[in-house]
Amino acid sequence: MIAKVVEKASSILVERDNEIKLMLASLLARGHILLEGVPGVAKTYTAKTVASLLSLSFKRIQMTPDLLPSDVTGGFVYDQRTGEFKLRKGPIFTNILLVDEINRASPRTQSALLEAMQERQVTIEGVTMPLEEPFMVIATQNPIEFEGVFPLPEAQLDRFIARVPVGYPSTKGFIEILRRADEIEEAIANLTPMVSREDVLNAIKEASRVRVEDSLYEYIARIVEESRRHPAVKLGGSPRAGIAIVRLAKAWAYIEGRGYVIPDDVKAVAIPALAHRIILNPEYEVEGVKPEAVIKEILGKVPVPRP
Amino acid sequence: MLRAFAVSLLLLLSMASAASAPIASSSQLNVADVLENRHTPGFPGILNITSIDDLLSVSSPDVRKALEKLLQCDTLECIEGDEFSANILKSILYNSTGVDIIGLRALSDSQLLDMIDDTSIRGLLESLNRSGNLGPLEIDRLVNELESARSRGSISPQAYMAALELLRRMLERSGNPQGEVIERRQVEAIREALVEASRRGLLSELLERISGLYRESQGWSSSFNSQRGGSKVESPRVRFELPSVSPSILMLILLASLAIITLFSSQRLGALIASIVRRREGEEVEFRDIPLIPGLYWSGVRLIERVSGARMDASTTHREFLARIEGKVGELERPFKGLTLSYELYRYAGLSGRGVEEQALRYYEDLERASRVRSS
Repeated sequence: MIAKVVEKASSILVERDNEIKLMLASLLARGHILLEGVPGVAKTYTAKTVASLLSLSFKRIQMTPDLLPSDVTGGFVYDQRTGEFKLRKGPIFTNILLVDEINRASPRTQSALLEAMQERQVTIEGVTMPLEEPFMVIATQNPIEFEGVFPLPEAQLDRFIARVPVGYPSTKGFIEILRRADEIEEAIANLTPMVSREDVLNAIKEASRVRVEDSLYEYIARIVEESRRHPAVKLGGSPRAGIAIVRLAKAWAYIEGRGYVIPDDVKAVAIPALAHRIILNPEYEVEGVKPEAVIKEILGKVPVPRP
Repeated sequence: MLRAFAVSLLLLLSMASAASAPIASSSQLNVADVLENRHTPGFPGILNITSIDDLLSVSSPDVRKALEKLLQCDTLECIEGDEFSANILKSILYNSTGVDIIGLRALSDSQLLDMIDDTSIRGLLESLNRSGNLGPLEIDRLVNELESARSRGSISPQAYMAALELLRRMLERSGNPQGEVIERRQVEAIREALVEASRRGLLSELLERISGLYRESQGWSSSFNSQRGGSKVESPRVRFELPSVSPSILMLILLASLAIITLFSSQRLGALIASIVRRREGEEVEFRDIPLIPGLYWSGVRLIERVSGARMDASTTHREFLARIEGKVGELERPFKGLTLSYELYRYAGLSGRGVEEQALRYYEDLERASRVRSS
C-alpha cells in the first residue's frame, strides 16, 4: 500500500522518487525529516504531495523570526463568555506538520518544536498532552541564506532521522517540469488520500518487525564507527545515528516490499541518516568536502557481511 | 625498529670488542684488501645510517656519485636520465628488495596492480581508476591508507612503489597537478628504500660475519673474502670492518641480537601471523566451512568474476554485483540472478530447508552449464 503511495507521488513529481521514499520511510520509522535545498526545487510540493496521499491531518507553519513557541504549540486563552481559560491547540496537534523554512524561526521557537518532536508530547502551562500518532514533522530549510536565519545547532539537527538534500533536476527532468508545470499543480490540488490512518499505523507496526540479520547490526556499527575515525571528520556519528540507520533501513525494506533488511537498504539510507550528524574538520570544509562524500567513501570501504 | 636494534647491537659489540682487543688486532690485516677504495669510518658510523647523507660518508666513489645524483633529483625522469647512476641504484635496490622499483615505469597498469599485495589498497586504486573521481579527499585517503599500510608492514616495498606509480599515472592522465607531488613522494620513497636496503645489507653482513667467526673460533684466520663466499651477487654495497671478539662473547651477542630482533619485530611478526591466519580462515570460510547456499553463491561469484572480469569488492553488495554484471555475461545472467536471490533469502530472510537448497543447486548447475557452453 505504501509502495502505491510512492508510485503515485513519483508519477506527479519529476525526479523526486528518492525524496518521496525517504519521507515515507521516515514516517514508518517514527522519525522526522528535514528537506534541504535552494528555493524552487519542490521541497514544499513534495511534502504536500505525500501528506495529501495519506489520510492524515496535515498542517503547515511558515516560520518567521517573530513566531513564538505558543504559535506552534498553542496556549490557554481567556473565554469572555464562560469566564474560563480554554486551551487553543497550536498547529503542532496534527499528524503531519510541514514546517517551512525552519531556520527562519527564533532558537526559542525551534527548541519548542524540536522538543515536541522528540517527546511526541506538548506541555502547555503544566498540562502535558500527547500528540496523536502518527506524528511527523517535515521541515524545509534553505542552506544558502545567512541573513535573518538561525541555523539549527547540531544537537537539534540530530532530532531529524534523516536530512535529504533536494537538488536541481536533470536537464531532461527540468524540461519535463516546464512542459507539465500547470498539470503538476492541478494534480497536487486534486489529490485524494490513498491510505487511511489505520493503514499507516499498521504499516509502522509491520515496518518495525522487519527482520534484521545479526551481521547487519555489525555492518551498521562499523559504518558509524568509521565516521568517527575518518580524517576529514571532527565529530562522527553517535549511537543515535546507528539507531536511525537501523529504523530507516527497516522502513526502506518494507517500502521495497521485503520483510528483511539487506545491505543495500543500509547503503540507501546511510547518507540521509548520517550526513547531518557529522561535523567536518575545517580544512576539509574549506576544500569543499561534503559530509555526503565522506559517508559515500566510508560505504565504499566498509566490507558488507560475508559470506 | 632497525635503529633500535642497531643501537643495542652497538652497545653489546662495543662491550665485546673492549673485552677482546688482542684478537681484533690480529684479524684486522685480513680485511684490508676488501676495503680497498672504501671509506670505512668504523662501526658507530656504519650503524647510524638514517639518510642518504650518512650513506655518502661510507660509500665507494661510484656509489657516492649515484647517491649524489639521487639527492639532486626530484623526478623519476631525472634519476633515470643518468644511466650509470640509475644502474647502480637499481642494483642496490634489486639485491635488497628483489624488485626493480625504479623500473616500475616500464610496467603496464595491470602489472602494477598485480604487484599490490594489500587488498584494501588494491581495491581503492581500482575503484579510483574506475570512477575517475580523483578529488583531494580521495587522494588523501589513498595516500593515508598507503602510508599506514607501509608503517604497519602490511605492504611490501615493491607493492608500495607500484601503488604510488599507479596513482601518479592516474593523476597524470586526468591532468591533476597532484601527480607531481606523488612523483616527489616516489623519489623520496626510493631514497628511503635505498637507506633501508643499505642498512639492512650492512646488518646482515654483520650477522654473517659474527656467525662465521664463531664457526672458525679455533683458528681466527678468517678473511673477509673467504667468509662471504664467492656465490653472492656482487652489487655496490657498503662494506665495513668488523672488530674480532671471543667466541663465547660472540655467541652471547648473537643470542642477545636475536632476542632484540624478536622483541622489536614482535608487532610486525604478530601482524604477519594474524594476516596468514586470517587468509587461511578466509579460505576455509569461503570454500569449506560454510553452508551450502552461501557456498554455491560464492562459487558462482568466482565463476562470474572469471567470465566478466568484474570484481566483487569487499564493500560490494550481492545486488550491486548483480547490477554490475547485467548484460555482460549472456546466458549466465539468468541462473546467477536466481542464485543471488536464493543467497539473499537464505542469508537475510532466514529462509532455509531442502526446497531452497535444491533450488540454489539447480541455479548453480545451470550456471556451470552455461559457463561450459560459453567457453566451448
